[in-house]
Amino acid sequence: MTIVLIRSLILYLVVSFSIRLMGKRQLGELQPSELVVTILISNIATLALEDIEIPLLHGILPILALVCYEVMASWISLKSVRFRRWISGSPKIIIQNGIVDQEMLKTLRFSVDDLMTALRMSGVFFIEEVQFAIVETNGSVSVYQKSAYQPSEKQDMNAVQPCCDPPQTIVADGKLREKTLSEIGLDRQWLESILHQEKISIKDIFLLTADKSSQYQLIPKGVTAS
Amino acid sequence: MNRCKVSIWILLSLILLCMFSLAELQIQCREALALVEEIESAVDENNTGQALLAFDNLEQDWKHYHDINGIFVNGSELDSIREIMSGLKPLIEDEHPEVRAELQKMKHLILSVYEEELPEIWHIL
Repeated sequence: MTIVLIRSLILYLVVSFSIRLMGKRQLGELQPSELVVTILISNIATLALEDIEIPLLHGILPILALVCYEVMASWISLKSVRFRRWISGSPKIIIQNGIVDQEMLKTLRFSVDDLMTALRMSGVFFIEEVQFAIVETNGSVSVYQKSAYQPSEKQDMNAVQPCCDPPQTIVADGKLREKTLSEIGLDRQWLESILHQEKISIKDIFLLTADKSSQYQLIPKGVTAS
Repeated sequence: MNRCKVSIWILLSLILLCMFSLAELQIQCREALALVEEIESAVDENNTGQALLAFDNLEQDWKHYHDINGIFVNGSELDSIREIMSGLKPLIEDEHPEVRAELQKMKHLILSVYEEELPEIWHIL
């Protein structure tokens, strides 16, 4: 029992490290090769966990090797388009100018229901509204609507404002984040003036956010919705 | 690029580990085989005392071999050797004719522990 407990901890650490090594890309949308590696890792880890007759190394070694292969394959695919196409495939156009490419749908084994679901998930309910629909290599569908059906944007109405970065957290739960403060081009002096103005100390602040234009929002500790 | 370098280092370490495990298995198996052969020759000379002494050495050393080899190979393979070993002592004491067959079986099993780890095409397939 104790052995299983310790082995599970070691495997947990190895699998967590492996997933971390594969990168954040892994946690979002999976490419075919990443999906294969993920399934294999879970299977190998389970075998080594269940059967203590199997040396732990027989579990750890293939997990690490698979992840290393995957990292190197993704690095090579960055460098070589041909390799990338071979390992991940290429995006396929299934709707062009409102016309569905039925042959491509058959090739991709994509049913009409799958297509309609993907369109609805993109906020499109009529095929004729679609300029382009592309099945990406990870199986998701990207939809580009005809200009007549695209929602109007600020620039269409000449209402564009100068670009503004989102506000950053400067103080969270009474703790100052000096690095963030300097990243947005503000300094301790600015912070002191805000604290003086609001008559509050850092330890009494629940949240203080600010952007590059020195616009800030301050929430003191102890403020509740009711 | 950093991840790629880490991966290459990990892969190189794994290859080194595999090579080390093969070398370690070879050493352990050779030593165990030498002891089995010592028992075998003592049995051939009808020297039961010498055979039992060599068997005790093998039994003692095998505990160590079992622990080390258990890191690299499946436990069931090693258990089958231990199983034969447990029944061997009474056979040697009684000078039973089956002793030679059992020793041969054990030699074959010990050898296969190492040989099956060799990266040969039929083992891979």
